[in-house]
Amino acid sequence: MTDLSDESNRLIADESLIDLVNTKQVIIMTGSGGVGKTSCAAALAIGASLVGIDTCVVTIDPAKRLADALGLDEIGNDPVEIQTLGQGKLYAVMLDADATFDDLIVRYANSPDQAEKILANTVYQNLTKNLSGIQEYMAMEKLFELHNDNRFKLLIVDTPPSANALDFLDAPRRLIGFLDNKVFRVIMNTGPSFLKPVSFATKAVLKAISRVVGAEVVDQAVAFFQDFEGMQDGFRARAEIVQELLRQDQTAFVLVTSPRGDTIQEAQEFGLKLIGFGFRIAGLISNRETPDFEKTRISYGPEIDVEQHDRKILSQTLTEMKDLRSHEQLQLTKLTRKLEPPRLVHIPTLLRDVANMEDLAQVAKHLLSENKKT
Amino acid sequence: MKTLRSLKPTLEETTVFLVAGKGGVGKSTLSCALALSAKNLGHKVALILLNPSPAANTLKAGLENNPAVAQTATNPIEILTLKPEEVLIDYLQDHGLSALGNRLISSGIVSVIATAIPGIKELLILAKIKQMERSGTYDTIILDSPASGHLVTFLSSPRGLAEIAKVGLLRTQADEVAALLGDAKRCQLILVTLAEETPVEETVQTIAKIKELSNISLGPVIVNGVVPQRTLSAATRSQIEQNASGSPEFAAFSYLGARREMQDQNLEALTHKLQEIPSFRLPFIFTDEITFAHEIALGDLLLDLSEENNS
Repeated sequence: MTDLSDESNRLIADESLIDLVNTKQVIIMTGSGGVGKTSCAAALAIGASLVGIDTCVVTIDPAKRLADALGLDEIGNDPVEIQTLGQGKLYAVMLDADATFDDLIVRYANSPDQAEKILANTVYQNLTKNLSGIQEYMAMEKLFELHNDNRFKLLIVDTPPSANALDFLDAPRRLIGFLDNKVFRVIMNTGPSFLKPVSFATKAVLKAISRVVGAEVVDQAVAFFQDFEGMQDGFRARAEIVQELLRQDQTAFVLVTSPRGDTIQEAQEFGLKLIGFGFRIAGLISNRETPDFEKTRISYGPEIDVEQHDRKILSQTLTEMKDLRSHEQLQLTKLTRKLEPPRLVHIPTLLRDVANMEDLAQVAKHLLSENKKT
Repeated sequence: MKTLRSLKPTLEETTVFLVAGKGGVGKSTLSCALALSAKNLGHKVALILLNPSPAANTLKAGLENNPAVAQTATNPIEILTLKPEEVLIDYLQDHGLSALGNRLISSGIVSVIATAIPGIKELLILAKIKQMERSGTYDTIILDSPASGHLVTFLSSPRGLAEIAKVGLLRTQADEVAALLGDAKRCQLILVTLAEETPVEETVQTIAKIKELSNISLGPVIVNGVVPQRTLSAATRSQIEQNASGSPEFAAFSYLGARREMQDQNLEALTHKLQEIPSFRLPFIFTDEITFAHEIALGDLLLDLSEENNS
């Protein structure tokens, strides 16, 4: 090992997340797309239930295989209990962002009539698909709702892969900004009366928009904002509570990455932003590492009679794998030096995709093994 | 289905390539490699990004700093980043909303319009590409498309909008973009995947969804990261299995072999499910960091110029 990794290893207290599942109430799994974040979230939940902690995992858009592995057939907003061999109970939810948003509307509407109108509006219907970060926001909503559920002690939340890594933190603000849209308030003349004189100009604007995008669209938009009037406060209050929950001591962020140059770079940007927002990264998972083939001490020496050609293939393969691994570890070391996570878990590349409970339990072993450091 | 040896005919036949795939499959790197392939054929190339990508930064720096490449470059690669919001603002300003000050626009009306009209941002990006294609300035236009989760929404925007906008400017745009997407001589969708189980499954699902959508011409599917097939003589195998099965060399060799075996199963499943859609395989690169040299090498492989055999 190089000096560099020796130094960073000193910073890492633990190579397991066991104390996190033992002490935290909420664990949020973050990271860019394609690193196996959802599998890690599921595996961590299974591991926690195996050590006796009642756990619920919230997944977002899991691959079909993973959903099957968990025994989940369809998305729904109620936790489904999953049979495991552990002492703790295990629940899973596949987030349905649309349904969660609908629930919120029903909750904050002043009357069933208001809720119905909003739910039927095409602008509202497009909101979930088009306002970036809605899915993230709904994941946070779900988190808030479930964190008061006493069926489980630990909640593990997977976050959606997003272009902007921190959409899930920013989404509530953006949604409220959208709902509070001043332009439309002015257009609708619902603002303070001193703004009324501009209505002539804004009517012209509205007309111009109609010309480009069609009058129907504008009518629907105006209707949406009229219907929504008065509900912003409920959303705002709720968003603030969720933000608070994220900052509590019982909440931990775990960053998942794979040790490739580009994903490491994304993880670094992501991690630094989280830190910039005042959060701490409680753990780093390095997923799909090239295994260490030199753990074994049995030597393959010149005394074995092997053709030159084959000898070359064997040594080339080992050299390539070793180089790959050492590059990966170097990248990882650089990342841990930047982010200083107190926990780092290495998971080697598995030879097949996570296909069932046993595979997930296998990953869980890596995540929750007793401190391997010597 | 057939496995292609070179994408040269594809690049010569068609102008616009929408490169798409799930996160982590190497979509951005492939976009850059494809741009280099096209440049190699003497094409004038535009590489369009929706988000900045490390791969494109590597390409840009490589083109600027490498004198050997710069010298031979008769046609440079133009790298453009299109911001959906800006494209929408441009469009609105071009169509009678210039009276709105920038402040008013940025205060949220754009986000209201973008939200009220599903797919307008996506449509306008595609319309921009169509305009670039029509201008005849470029021989090859490559779009590093959004991740495949959003891809279907992206590609269905013309149809979705045609349903909302019965007549008018948007309708014309939607119809013209639909015509572009449906014409294999003008535009092809290139899906990138890995020879792993989940990516293969998702690629097949994406293709099914896209076919359902409408008339979008599918180009070859690129399978990235195929590990090399390495074999030992029977004599060597038995020697090692008896005397040195625990050696690091054999552990590494067996590991690679097992990966390839798993990939072969997935490749077979993919081949079977793709039916008439051709595919193209790119080898795994033993590195954690794709450099400009790797991008060039991948670009050469796409044209079958490399001496290295990678079955």
